[in-house]
Amino acid sequence: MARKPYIIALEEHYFDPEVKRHTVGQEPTNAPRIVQRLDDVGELRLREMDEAGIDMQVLSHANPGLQKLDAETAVRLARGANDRLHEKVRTHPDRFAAFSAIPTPDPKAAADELERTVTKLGFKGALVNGLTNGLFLDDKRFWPIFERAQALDVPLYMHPAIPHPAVVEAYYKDYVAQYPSLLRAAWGFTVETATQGLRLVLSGVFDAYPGLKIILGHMGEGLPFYLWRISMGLARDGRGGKSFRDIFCEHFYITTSGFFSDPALLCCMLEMGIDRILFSVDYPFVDNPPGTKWTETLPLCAEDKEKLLNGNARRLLKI
Amino acid sequence: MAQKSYIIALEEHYYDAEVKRHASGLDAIAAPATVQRLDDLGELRLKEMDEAGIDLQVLSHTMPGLQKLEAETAVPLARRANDRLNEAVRAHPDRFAAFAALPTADPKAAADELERTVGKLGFKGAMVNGLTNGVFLDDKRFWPIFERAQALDVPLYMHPAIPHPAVIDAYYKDYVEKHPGILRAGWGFTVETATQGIRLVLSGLFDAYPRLKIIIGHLGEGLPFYLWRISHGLRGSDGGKSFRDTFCEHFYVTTSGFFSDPALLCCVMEMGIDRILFSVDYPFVDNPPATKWTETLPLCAEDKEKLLNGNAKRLLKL
Repeated sequence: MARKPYIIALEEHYFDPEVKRHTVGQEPTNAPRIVQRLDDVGELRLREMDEAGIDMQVLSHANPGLQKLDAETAVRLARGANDRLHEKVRTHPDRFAAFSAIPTPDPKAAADELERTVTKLGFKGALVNGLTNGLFLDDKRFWPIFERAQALDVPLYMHPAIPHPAVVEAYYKDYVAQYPSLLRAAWGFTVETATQGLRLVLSGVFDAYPGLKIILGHMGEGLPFYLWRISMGLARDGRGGKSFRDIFCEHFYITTSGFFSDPALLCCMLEMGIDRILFSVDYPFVDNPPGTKWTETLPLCAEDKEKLLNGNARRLLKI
Repeated sequence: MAQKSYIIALEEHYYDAEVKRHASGLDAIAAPATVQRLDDLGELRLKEMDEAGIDLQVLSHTMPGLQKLEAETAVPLARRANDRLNEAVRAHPDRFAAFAALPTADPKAAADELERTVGKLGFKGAMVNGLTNGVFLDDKRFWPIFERAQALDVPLYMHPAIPHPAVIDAYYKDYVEKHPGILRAGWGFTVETATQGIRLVLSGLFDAYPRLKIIIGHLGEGLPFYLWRISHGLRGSDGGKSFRDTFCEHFYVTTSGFFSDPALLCCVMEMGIDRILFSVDYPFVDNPPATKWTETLPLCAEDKEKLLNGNAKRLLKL
């Protein structure tokens, strides 16, 4: 029996009590079992990590985080929320690390908060939940955040949130009552976050910040599958330059959060290589044990499995 | 050297001269080389099929077809367009087959036209291009079309069109001018057609018509990749039958405009080779890269035959 690998899980969520009070009605779930686990950054969480063999969680605020608040409220809440998160990490520094919640409604303040949390608190980057009051993050007003992330050499994690209301109306509303997850993990999250990834590439932000690193969860929201077709579809526009594939594979990392599928993982490996794929669970929306159990049966050599489970995260997050 | 496989291509488009006059704005196709080929159902097309080794094209009207026309325009136009398409097929019956264009704005008339074209003209099914005046095809008003498709035992091919304007406004408009592909093969086509596929499953359509067969191009618009995640997301609200089960029972996918080994292998692992059919997406995509790609596929000879002709023969009764 081989030694158990050290396991780092990258997209693991919690609720800050004060942020939660300001996002009433926008919570990602009302399920008591999940809310209880989002609220807990202590005994219950550690026990469930232990049961599944997860050594470290990189904590991030559950959606919608600070992205749907007015700028003044978001800036004020960010500092307190990140300081409280830092306290939790300090209590168990061998078990927790953190991604910052940044007040994107004020891009300059968000860049400053990213810098403060990385340099003063040792955070590993930031996680942004969906659109900022309806705007995609490739809008130029947000580029100071990308500039700062590059300067600090930390990644930004693009996480979904409930999709744009106009898209909900056009594509999903007929089925929302019966299938609420159509807006979420089943489809709406995927479409919007993949669209965010695509828009980042088209925006030219990676020309401006060639050291920028972006993480997408949920197997890259499917973008690795589409690399051939998207690259062809956009090449027809005749803009020349680097292909979508080249930019994506140079700047993006993906995680396995909530997506424990061999065919999908193998497709991602063929397209991106193992070095850009990182283990995640998506706790507590997804339970830990199916995540780690899945990795035990993966058709990967020991070296690649170590990369997936901890090596790539250590390198990317400097853990 | 093995004998060349017989090759059937399933999602190959043309323009009916009269339907074409109704396409304007974003729906108009600009590239002269593409338009020339859409207009041609004879010499040029056959030459380019020969050059790439394609034996049979199943012809279908290019987007948006009849889906953005009012019922009173679409119904009589459908009949004329399908009759003209039948003439083109009759001129080269060993090289062409056809999917009907349906006037979906009048669902009952669309079902009747499907029956007429399959029963009288020998068409192999129908292709629908995107939303019908903004409405997805899972809406109950369209179910008579699915009922008839099941009765006739022919598949319906769900093809993309320019996406819903509200979605363009929310998701794509900032990049449309510089990157028009974002609305089309680059992304917008994919999202809307995959959404159509998911909605068909959620609608309960396949409970009502348990032998209904749906084809989705462009490697299933990515849905095979997502089967695990979509099924996981819907668990608890799926009434016991998973999204995966329904999808793999009722859907077929084609390789149109998507010649990627990793994506194909993912589809093979999720759906099995029996549900994957070769297509080019001519003339939006050239034939030679498609057939060349199939020569290097890591498939055994038997599976390659299934992809190139066997599955199509079975599904379309060719």
